[in-house]
Amino acid sequence: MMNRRGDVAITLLVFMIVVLLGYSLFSFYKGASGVGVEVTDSRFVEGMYLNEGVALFNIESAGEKALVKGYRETLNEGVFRKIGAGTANSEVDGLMRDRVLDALKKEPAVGKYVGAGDNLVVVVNGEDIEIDAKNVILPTITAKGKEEKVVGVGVYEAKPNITMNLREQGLWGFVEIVSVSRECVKDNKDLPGSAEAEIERCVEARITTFDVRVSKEGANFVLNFISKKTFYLDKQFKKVDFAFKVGENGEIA
Amino acid sequence: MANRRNKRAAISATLTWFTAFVIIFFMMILFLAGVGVLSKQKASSYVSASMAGSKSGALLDQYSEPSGYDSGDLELQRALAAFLNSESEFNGNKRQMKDAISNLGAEVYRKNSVMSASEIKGNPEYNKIYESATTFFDGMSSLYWPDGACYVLCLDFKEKLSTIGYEPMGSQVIVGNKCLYGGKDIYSRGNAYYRCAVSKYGISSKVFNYAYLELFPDENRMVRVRILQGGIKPIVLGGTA
Repeated sequence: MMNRRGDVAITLLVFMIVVLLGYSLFSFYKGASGVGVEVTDSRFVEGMYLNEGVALFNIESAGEKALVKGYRETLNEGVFRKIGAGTANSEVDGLMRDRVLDALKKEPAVGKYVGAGDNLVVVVNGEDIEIDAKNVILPTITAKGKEEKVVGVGVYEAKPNITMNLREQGLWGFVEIVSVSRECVKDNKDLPGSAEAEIERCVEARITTFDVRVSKEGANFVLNFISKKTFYLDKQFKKVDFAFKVGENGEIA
Repeated sequence: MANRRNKRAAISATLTWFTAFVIIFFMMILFLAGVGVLSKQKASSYVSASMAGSKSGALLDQYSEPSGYDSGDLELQRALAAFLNSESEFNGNKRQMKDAISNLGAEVYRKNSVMSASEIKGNPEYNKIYESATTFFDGMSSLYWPDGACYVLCLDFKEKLSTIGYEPMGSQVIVGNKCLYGGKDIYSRGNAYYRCAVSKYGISSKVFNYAYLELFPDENRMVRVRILQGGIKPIVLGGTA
């Protein structure tokens, strides 16, 4: 009986040591990935920040371009007709998100600094757009006369989070454009002789990033929007323009 | 009898503890080996501080551009980004400076060479870029270098001829005022770049700040905007150096 009790104690001791050592190794392993970099030469850190600045500037510029391209693509897909037919706002956001992401993946700056498109996340929430990029490839820093060292992911990881707003970029949200247009048409449609001019004035007062021209076509009002801002796309300066019809009762044609 | 029984029990217990000791010892060895492997992995992710070179050695970026890599460079890079994101009116239309510069590059790519002095001065977009850059960087320079400052803003046009990277097509100085150092006019002698200044005149790396940013007019072209800014007596905290 005594021997058996002794065996149990020793087995327990060995078992506890195995657990303790296993846990220690596991925590070492987990801790290794989150360890910061020890760099004693501050110039190196400054250099990393400079390279990060270049990467962030490029990703941000690419994001701005992709935003405009995605906006135009969404327009081409008849977004106003979809909103008029009762498409949910979240679906409109999803449509815009997909188009912006597609455009972003094609941007050369993104290819250079982010690599595969899987590292990009685009979130569209009404007029706010957020771009998250991970695993950003930073340019290398070399020391004069020394072997080149690659500094990249894992050593210093840049995680750009870019937030943009359609209005700040010289555009405007689709849902808001439809809503304002409907209200302005309803409020001014019956003004004799000056309905078009009043609708123009009403829309321009509320959607300030676009010039608006209104004409009458049968029972509908045709609203032409031209952006005030000029965008540099495909090596040309272009304005974003679109048109849609609003019926007297606010239906989108 | 009692003594014999006790001895057997002692031998049995000793053997059991000995086995346990061997197992625990073996586990300890495995643990140490494991820690050793993990610490090696961790060490390889460190960047050796010694790679930054000696105190006099300059760090190079991926384009082999020497740089002091100090906070002045970061400050200059932010200023350059602010300048490129700023808007100016071109023929009644507001354009961002980075778009205007990208468009200026289109002329270079069309000709497949940088513009001559007369060509660039005849370019209406260039004149507006020159005017905006002068206003922006003159103000900044006088703020940081009250005893005399200079800056050179230049563009490197590059084209992607292979999947490896961008090949240089030529450089165009956009704005440059006189960079005087020790009575020598560095810019007028055609040495707009830091490395020339350092190698020809032995100027201390502390004198100049250097920064660059990139623009991508299309999928095969890149314009690198570089700025070199400096002076003789930079402002330091508590007065001038």
